[in-house]
Amino acid sequence: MSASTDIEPTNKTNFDLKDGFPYWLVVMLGIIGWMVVQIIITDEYREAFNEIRPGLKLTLITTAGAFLASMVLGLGLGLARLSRNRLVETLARVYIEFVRGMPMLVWLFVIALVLTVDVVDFFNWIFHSGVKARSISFAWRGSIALSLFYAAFLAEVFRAGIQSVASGQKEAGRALGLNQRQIMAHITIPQAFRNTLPAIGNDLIALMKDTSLISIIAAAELTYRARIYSGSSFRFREAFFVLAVFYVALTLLLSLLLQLWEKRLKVPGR
Amino acid sequence: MRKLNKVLAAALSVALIASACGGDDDDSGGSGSEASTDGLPDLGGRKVTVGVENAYLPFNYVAVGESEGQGWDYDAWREICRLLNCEPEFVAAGWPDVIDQVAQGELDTAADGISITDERKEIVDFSDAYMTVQQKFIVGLNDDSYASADDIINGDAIVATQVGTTNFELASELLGGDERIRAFDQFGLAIQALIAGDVDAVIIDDAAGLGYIGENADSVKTIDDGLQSDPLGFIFELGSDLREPTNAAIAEMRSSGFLDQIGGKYFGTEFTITYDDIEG
Repeated sequence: MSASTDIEPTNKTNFDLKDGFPYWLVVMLGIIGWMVVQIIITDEYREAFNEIRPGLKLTLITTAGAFLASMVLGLGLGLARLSRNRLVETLARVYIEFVRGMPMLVWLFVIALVLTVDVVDFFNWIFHSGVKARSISFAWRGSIALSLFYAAFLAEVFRAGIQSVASGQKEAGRALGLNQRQIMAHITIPQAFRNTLPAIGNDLIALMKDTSLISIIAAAELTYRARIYSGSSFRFREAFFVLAVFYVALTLLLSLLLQLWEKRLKVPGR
Repeated sequence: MRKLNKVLAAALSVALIASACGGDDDDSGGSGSEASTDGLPDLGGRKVTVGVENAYLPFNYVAVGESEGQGWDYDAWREICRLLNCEPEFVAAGWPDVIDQVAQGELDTAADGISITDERKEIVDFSDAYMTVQQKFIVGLNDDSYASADDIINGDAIVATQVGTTNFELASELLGGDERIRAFDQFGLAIQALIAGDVDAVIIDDAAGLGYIGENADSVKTIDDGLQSDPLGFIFELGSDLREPTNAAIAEMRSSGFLDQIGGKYFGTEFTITYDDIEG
């Protein structure tokens, strides 16, 4: 029995059949199916769907890009949190606490409207170059903000995951003659990753849903498309029903994929 | 004074009904509207909820250091309610969702410099126009690349505006699609993007644009070419009984000079509040 899978309460959809027949899933698929039928048979819903759908590309790209970047950054930050170097540990801690202390929307404004411009100015001042902030699009700024934000959450997940690996494992590695770095890379991190997968999946789904916030800074993802469409057509009902179903379907899909992945990585008997 | 008016109004309406022998077929004001002494309908002190964005200078905004909203819309609705004997309650609402809120009857009316369009008329009723604005481009003060609107339209300029506005619609038309448009949640963000150099121009109604280009504006200027003129009105739920009384009040405010007065106050050169001075 390991406590590692309870690092964070998971709100990820659970497909486990041991709780009996998933009636909830049937109902959800029924509602989604009903919306699909509406999109096929009514002009209003089809129009809303066609207007919103082009935003799917940016939602998916932003989710995937920001998730990969935040995994890499989060692992670095998580390791820094465990560093014996007090300065490194403190800097990582300050960053994590700062970012986790504010809502994603506020962080988005900070990064997209203020820090991007400041960092570009600073860059130009250092290198005497003439880079313009505008060459970094709002979609990019939104992705950067999401990456930096979720890196702080994933750092804590990784830290807890690494700490959850039993010390006997490290001792066994040492007995085999591995050095610290090898133990971390070949023994601790692979086990930590498996232990933390539910929590990572949870953050992936939260990140996907938070991409809707970048609509506010005019990045043309799903929510932006729905806002544009509803603002021009006044079909608020159709626009937001279709939009909601897009996100629910994406969440279900991600949950399912994560569930399959967790099954693959599962150690028999645990 | 108000009490006296009411007594007089009641007496007058009794007299009118008596003289008309019940042949009152003029239902313009709907239920409860009575003629008052100054010829305007009397709403009997009822509460009227007015949706405002509080982020559309100078129509409605919250000034730095203040907690209450203010602006042209506030002054106008206080005057309308003074004339009609009602009590305005200003409710902060998001744009363009406020249109839907009024259409669903959640709010009695909304004031946000709303352009009267045929599409919007399908879901809400409009008051008579209280002013007409010109849509214009705003560009950076030191930006000499755009001498005319055509330079912006025909080049590769990126144009910012607000979601769900007639400015967005016109920009899509002029620029042939929304590839070069960045529609923000509020105009404040669009102006900020212009100042930061993230976009080349903002398309906005000149009345709202003036709110920005006060004497404090040292970073942006207007391109003079008017792109399209839009009449502005208040919106109501379809069939609302507030529409006719409001139209009567607007006519009264026009003839009494009140509209000119608040026009001078908010759109004249003495108006110097900028987006830097508002929260929202």
